Amino acid sequence: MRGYLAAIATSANDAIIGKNLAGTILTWNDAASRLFGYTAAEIVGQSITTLIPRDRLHEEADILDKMRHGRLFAHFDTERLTKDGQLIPVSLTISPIHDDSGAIIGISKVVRDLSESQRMNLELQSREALLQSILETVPDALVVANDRGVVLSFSSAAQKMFGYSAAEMVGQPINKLMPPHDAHAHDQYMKNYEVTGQRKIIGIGRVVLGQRRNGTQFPLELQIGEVRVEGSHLFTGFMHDLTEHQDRDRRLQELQSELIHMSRLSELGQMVSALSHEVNQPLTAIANYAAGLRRMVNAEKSPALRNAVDKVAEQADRARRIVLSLRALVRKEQRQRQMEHLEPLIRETSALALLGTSGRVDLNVLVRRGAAAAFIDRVQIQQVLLNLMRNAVEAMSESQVRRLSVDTNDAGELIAIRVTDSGPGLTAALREKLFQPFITTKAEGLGVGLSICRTIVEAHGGELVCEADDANGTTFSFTVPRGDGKSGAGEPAASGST
Amino acid sequence: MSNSPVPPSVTSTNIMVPIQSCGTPAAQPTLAWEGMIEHHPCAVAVVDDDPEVLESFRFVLELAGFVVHTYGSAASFLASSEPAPHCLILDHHMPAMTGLELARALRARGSDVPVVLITAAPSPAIVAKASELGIVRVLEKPPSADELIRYVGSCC
Repeated sequence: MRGYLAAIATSANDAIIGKNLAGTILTWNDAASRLFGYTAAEIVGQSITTLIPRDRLHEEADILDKMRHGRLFAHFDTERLTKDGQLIPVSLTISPIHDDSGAIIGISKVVRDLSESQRMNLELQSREALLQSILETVPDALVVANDRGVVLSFSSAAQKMFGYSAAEMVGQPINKLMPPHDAHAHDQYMKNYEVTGQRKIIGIGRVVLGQRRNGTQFPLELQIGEVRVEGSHLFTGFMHDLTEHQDRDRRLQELQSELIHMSRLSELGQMVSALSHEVNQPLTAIANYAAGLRRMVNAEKSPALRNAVDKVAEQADRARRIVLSLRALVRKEQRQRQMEHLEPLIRETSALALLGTSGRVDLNVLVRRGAAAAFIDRVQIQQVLLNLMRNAVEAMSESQVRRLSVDTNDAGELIAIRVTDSGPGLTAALREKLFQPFITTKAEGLGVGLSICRTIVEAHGGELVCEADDANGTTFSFTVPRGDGKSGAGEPAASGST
Repeated sequence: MSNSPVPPSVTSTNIMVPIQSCGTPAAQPTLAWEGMIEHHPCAVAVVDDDPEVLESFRFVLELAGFVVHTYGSAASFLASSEPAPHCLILDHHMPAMTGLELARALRARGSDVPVVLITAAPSPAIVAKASELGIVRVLEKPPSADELIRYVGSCC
């Protein structure tokens, strides 16, 4: 039994030291040799005080005293000396050794080396410092907030981006960094997330508008992470300012690839738009002349002539049906439509539309009650909005007052979305050509003209018009089916009469 | 005159509440107008910005026995001193003032002239706006001449 215990002591990972009440070391295991540097031969028979730093000698007297009075204590953290004079942090576990009669004949000490865990602690601290210094140097702003939206940390890049100092923002609600409307929506969003756990932005990343201390707004790309540590629930927001040139190009490229995604439809749509609006003109004339000729020709006197006229009418009708079936084909190629909330859709599109605009543009978005949700293809309608808004921003490039308004209105079975600028109005030449397919006045840009916009809107069962145009600005308006199930807009109107 | 139901057709979209007094007779279509127009000649005005299309409308409608006046723009129609026609045929997609805008201007002046609106894309949006203005015939371009003549004839 004794041999068995000795074997355990020898192979233990912690140093185990036995000593008598006088403090003389009696046993010394391998782990003790590794920790302190003395072999058993060197140290057994020596006083335990060999291992105790001078200023901690009182600890030993204290231990012996407590032992003699029968008081036990489990362990305490202290320091001990190695053979080469190093101080090492240790945790001591001290227990009395009794003889058969129960008298204390000695003391066993288990010494655990704390320097490993301490080193890890230090490593952690330095890693934290490194992370901190990285966060302070990356161009992206980092803001940490708790689940009540209170800012806990505001990086130096964030200070530069928003114009607030860390002292001004820490402890403040994070929605101070958003335009007023978004700020309100954000409160609601955080509440919803707490209750439903439904993520709208976390882990996804999206383009939003930020608001600087001086009130100006700018587009930024936001990535939100979520951390739950020991009961606290934190959100980290990385923000990338998109005002800078290269970012604008990158985002526009991403957008363009979305456009290419739907370009097949767009090209076909543009062709069909041209056919419907242009080829139908001569077809109309042919059909009219043929119908008139049929009345002029006496079928009994000139059966061959009457037959030929009938053929002209038939062939014109055949051409008409080809146009109709092409339009039906485009309609069939519709991408998926679903109910979309217009507020976030317009917000995100406006952030993109304002990318890279130099100087301030006052953006005003008003989504009216009863005109807040539409049944649409999100990407397509965003293209229409983006196109109208970028045209509007371009139109205002020389204007003193630069106001861009987007509002939605209840239009019965449809929702009307209006885009209004405060620019100088369209030139007469431009107005004439506005919706003509295959015509663009711009050398560059996204390349999707108003004619495509009109095709998209018409495919949604709506209409795109230039509603107002004078020296005070231009308003474009388009209609889309409602998304709240109030009606079956987009379906053909009911047939029949009374 | 009261309207009677017609079978749904590919090129026309009928709305429930016509305010004009004309509609489509239930009788055999082609025979119907051939018989009646000769005895009840009436005036029809056509507004279209495409002169060749305008001329073709004049050709077929005059052959059908109507008195035809043509206008190349909404403005020239509004400026004309002709008495109000029995029926007005409007192209929707016109620059400056669309067919619907012209119809709205006429209604604002108190005119209840029956209107046929012709458009390449009779979307629900256009049909809805047309019906607000009491336009019961929105025809897809190119319209069927027979249907057009039938409707115009019913307005006289």
